[in-house]
Amino acid sequence: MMFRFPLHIGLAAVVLTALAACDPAEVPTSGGPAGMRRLTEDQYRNSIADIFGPDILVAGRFDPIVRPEHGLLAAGTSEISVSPTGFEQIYTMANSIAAQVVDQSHRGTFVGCRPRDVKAADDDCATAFFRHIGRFIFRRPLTDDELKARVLASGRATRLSSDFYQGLALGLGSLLSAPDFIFDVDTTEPDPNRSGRLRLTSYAKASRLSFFLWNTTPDLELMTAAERGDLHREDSLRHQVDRLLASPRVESAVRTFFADMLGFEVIADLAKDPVLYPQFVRAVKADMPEQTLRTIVNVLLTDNGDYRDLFKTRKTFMTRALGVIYQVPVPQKDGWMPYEFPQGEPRAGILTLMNFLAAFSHDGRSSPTVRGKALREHLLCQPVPIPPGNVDFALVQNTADPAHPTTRDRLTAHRSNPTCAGCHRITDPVGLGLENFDTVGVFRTTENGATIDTSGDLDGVPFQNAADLGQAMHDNPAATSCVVNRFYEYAVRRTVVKGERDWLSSLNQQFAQDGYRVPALMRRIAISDAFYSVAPESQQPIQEAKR
Amino acid sequence: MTRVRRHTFHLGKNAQALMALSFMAMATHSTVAAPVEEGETLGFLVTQFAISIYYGDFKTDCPDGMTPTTDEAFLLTQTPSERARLLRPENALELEKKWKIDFTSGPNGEDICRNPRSFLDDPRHPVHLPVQSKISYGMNLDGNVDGSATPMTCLHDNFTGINGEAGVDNQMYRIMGCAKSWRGEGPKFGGSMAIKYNSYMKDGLHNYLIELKGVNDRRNDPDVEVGIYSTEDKSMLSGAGDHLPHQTFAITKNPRWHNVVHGRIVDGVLHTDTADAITLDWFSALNGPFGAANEYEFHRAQLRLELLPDGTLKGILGAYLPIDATSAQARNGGKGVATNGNRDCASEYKSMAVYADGFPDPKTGQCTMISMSNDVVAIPAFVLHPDPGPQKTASVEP
Amino acid sequence: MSSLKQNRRTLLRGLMGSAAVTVALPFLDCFLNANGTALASGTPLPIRFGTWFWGLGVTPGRWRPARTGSDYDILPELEAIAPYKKKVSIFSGFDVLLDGRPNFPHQTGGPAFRTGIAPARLAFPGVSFDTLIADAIGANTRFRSLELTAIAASNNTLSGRGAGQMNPSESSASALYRRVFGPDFKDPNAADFAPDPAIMAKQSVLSAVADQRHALEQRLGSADRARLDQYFTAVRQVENQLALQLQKPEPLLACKQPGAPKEIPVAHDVEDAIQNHEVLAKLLGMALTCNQTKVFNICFNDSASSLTRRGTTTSHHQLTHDEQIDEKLGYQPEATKFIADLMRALGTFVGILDGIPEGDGTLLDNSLVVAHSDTDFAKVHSVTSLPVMFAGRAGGRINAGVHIDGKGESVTRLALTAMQVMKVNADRFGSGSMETKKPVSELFAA
Repeated sequence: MMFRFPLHIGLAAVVLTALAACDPAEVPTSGGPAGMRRLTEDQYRNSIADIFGPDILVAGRFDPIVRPEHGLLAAGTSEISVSPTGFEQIYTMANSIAAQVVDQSHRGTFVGCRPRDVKAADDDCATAFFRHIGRFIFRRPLTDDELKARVLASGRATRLSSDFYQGLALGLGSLLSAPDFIFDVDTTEPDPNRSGRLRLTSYAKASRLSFFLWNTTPDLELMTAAERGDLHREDSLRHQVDRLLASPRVESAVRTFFADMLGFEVIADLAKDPVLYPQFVRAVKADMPEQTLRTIVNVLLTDNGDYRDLFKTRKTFMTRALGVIYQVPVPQKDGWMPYEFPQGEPRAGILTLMNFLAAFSHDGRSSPTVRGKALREHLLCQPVPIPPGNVDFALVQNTADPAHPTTRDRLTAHRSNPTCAGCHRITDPVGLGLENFDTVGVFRTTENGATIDTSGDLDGVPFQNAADLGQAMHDNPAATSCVVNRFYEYAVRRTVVKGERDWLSSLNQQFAQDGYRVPALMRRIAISDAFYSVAPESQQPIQEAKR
Repeated sequence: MTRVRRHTFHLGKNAQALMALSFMAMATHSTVAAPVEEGETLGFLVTQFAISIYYGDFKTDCPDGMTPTTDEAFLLTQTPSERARLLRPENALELEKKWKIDFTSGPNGEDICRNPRSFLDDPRHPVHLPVQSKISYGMNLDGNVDGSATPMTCLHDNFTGINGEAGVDNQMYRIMGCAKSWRGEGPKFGGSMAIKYNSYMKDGLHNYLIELKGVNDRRNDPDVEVGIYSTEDKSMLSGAGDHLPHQTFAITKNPRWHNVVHGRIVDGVLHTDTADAITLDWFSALNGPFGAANEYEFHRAQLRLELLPDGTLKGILGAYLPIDATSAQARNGGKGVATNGNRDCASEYKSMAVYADGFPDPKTGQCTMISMSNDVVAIPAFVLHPDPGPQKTASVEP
Repeated sequence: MSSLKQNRRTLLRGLMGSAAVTVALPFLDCFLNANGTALASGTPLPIRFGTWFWGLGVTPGRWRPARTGSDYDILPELEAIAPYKKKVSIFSGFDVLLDGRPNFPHQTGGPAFRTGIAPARLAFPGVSFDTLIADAIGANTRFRSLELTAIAASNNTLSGRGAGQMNPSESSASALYRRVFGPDFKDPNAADFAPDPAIMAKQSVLSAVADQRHALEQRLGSADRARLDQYFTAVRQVENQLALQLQKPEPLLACKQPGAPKEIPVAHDVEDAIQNHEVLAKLLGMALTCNQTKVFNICFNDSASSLTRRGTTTSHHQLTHDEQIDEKLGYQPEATKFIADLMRALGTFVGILDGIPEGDGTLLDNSLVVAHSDTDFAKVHSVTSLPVMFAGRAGGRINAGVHIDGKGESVTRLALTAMQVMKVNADRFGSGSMETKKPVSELFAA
């Protein structure tokens, strides 16, 4: 049985065109479905810190997000709910946050009024408090019903406890336990410019924008713009986008995106054989994803560089712990210091950093197949079929077989089986280019005494070693179209729909025109119509709550 | 087979910028010729540094058995009937008080470990049972093979080295080689003291570095510079508790713990000249159970280390230890060394004093130091100098 | 559904007498008592937490099972807990990570596990996790926690909030008796019950979350509506938990004031310590049964153990360093005997808790006991693979009876697991490399 590898997926529509002198009119999309996305742990923590300040302790756990097949964790937030244990945590966190917000040291900041009697309910003061604070928690003004329910509940709680602030805290806890806070819910309204179509409300736009660019709840200025309806006006929207993009907080979004795109969640449970690879200690494991993220941020944000340079850059960062893997001296005792691999060194680009090499290898040996699969799926958006269930892996796994000393020898033998050949032709020739690095990323030239051959090819482009492979990735159009598609998926936090494909193709061309600058890509998404478009059949419009 | 790598760091404004890097060449990397006149610099972290014990046939080495521990020494001072009485379960508390308190105190309350000199005439704490065999690790430190007294030494017996070398000086082994605390469990498990000493380096209580400079040929080179240093940086250990190779360590800023000596490599073995003294940190990380920080002093010291193909250094350090400084290591621990550690500090001191074979006191003629041998193992590491002074500049810096 | 809700509201209003409140009511019918974790009425039994410390570790090759999972092998030093194997989990390969700090012999392992901080100097470096658990669950009992030791050393403790704020350990059985069952002891079954207004207030406010459900549902497609349904199912479960706390608890039928114990004088003799520990453990068992405390901390011996055996002069600690490893046996015979004694004492302790019936199970079933030492192999003071065991099922919250290999991960993962099982509101524990946000989640009962 042979598998047909769907190489065309994700890049079939990509045709690079000559740089256009000016932006063409935006290619229309069908609009995506309206939905609701559970806040990630980072988004929750960032929101609480932004609303109430970083000194409010947030201690609790979150239900894990499930990665959709060939998708991002960000898209998984559109599919998960909250488990009973998860809600127990949400509720406990909510009450603990609320108690801190109204305690002696914080109430002056957050409660704008004083109750007539601290032992009695004061509906006026409670109303003012919930109206003010509720707008930030729900990322929109509370409806009258929502507001009344909190005032009523707080009053009841105050009467039971004879403590105005305790009642207030419990009411605040109920806001923080509400699905309207825990989920980012799309709210739509009829589009006045396009009869019969829907659009996100101004507040929903603000949330979408803020979670995309800052990974947090909208700030005051964005909320004020939303309140004025400014986000429906192109110039005001651009102003807000540029303001958000100019902030150092964009780094948090870029880090979150790449940790998601590169599948960093596998690292938490990563283990290596402690006898064969004793240097894979906890400090090394802790530093390895951070090294890759720092390298990415340095190229894309600090240097505003070309995305493709991620596959070629010699600049990275080191800690003493990582020095053990790279076998280089690290003068600085604690923390990170910049480092540049010298010309002629075997390392260049994020594929040759320890994180990629170790995360996509087996416990006891490197794996060109797993590395090749990760490269295809994470960096080129090319899904690799899963192997059939009845494969005999004995040959591949026997690293002590004198007839097949290197991984290439074993895989070549394995590929002589036609059942396996189809998929391995997709993964192995790429992964073999990284065989100079063992399963924890330490450089080597031999395996079991035999010299390692690192030649291979990527979609017809031959290479001799890892540096050449980096160049081939740099030149591969699927690499850039992949990051464009992923960034959009990350921005809308759902799976991309068919009606958005043409627009993504045009976005891909614009990415090239922008010199593959990622901040420019983020800006194009953030100011596009596509980003805010809602498919008409997905939801009935309702009137936005009136204040 | 080796090469020198250039490492490019963007050094910031911080003080680290002053550090001169020294480089350890990578045995596994492809060849790039190093400048012949300067040679390569090899850095190492010391992973084993503890007394050498030669395990021959036990009955030959220690025909009279092991030297008594503190509690055993106490019981030997008692009559057989009293000994039997004290060993009865109901007298356990009395026995404990007698050996842990009375036996380890002098007439005026002197602490057996803090003031071992005051027990020199106390017959309850005799000289250790010496090793009786003729073979030992170590070096011929005094240059003669008959052990006769010289201006630098006192009359003593010599051992034959394990490779047949004549005139090996190792009086420390002679008096401690049958003591349980040093000899330990035998060759399979290593000496008790060695396990302890080597675990101190894993625990980060002190760590040592070795640096070889100007190595043009790892098999034969008549002219290399050997540095032995302390570092305050802690070593990272594997999950199994072993030191990891290729870590970076900064040499201590304390110049007392910088030691440089000339050496030569002959057939893959490094031999140093005799250093007047090698002084290293002892427990500087610790201010508590073992008292204040101390120093480890090796006089007229030589290193003989083999450069193994896997990049490690393995061999011995031969030297004279000042007996007062050596007993100070126990002294800082106080009586606990005698009770919890079960080492009779008074007997140890007396044994060292009697068997001391080096550095006679000009007035009394009594020797003040004792010959010894330490096992040394060191693995590849990057050694950073705290200050690029004239002598310390890494030779491979462009 | 709404009429049922209305009926229950009325019912509860009667229960609370004059308190003129309406509260959302639990769906008691979904509360089943399948695994002995709740009384017949549905009132949950208190879940207790304790630590049981022993000094000087285990013997290589005689404690750590070769097999992981529930089929773990019983080596000699686990024989004493073998009868309770299904209720005891073994943890190996969970390390104390020093971050370049020295490993102070006998002074690092215990405090580092308990506080998540490797000491930088010789002082208890932080807040021990048992006190965090006591803060969370011990506030409503007479004693927030009880600290005990089998040897005569009140400073033998690993429970506290930092140097100078340590919880001293009681070693005298009669002193413990006076403290718990003396004149201040009140029969818990005689106490009047009044629902806690703070819980009533919480419950009332939680209902406001659900009130807006309809408005939100209108804005969603069917798939998202199903997700919202799950959300409100979860809300209802928390409402149930609050409602249960407003009911009068069942009487503690097994609670009976014990007679005064016989005092056993202890110095360093291991047999005396074993006997004293057994008396203390029985008193503690009754203190737990009578809900006088929910948290306890036992240090059987000290970390550089001064225990001796009658007729010999050498303490356990000295033996670990000085005793020869028997080449035939592969271990130090005398030092190993002490480990066997310590493990037998742990077996006795677990057996005492498991011998007290409670609900459908035993006191042990409603407890989580974290037993641990300060070192793996005392001869070299190693703090990698700290020996840790969990005994008990914590009222069904935890999967018991497995051996898990931590593969060099931080031992604080186990502390965090215990904290989360005991409902401490914490998502992380420890500092530096020992900071973890990752409990051993396979232990959480589904």
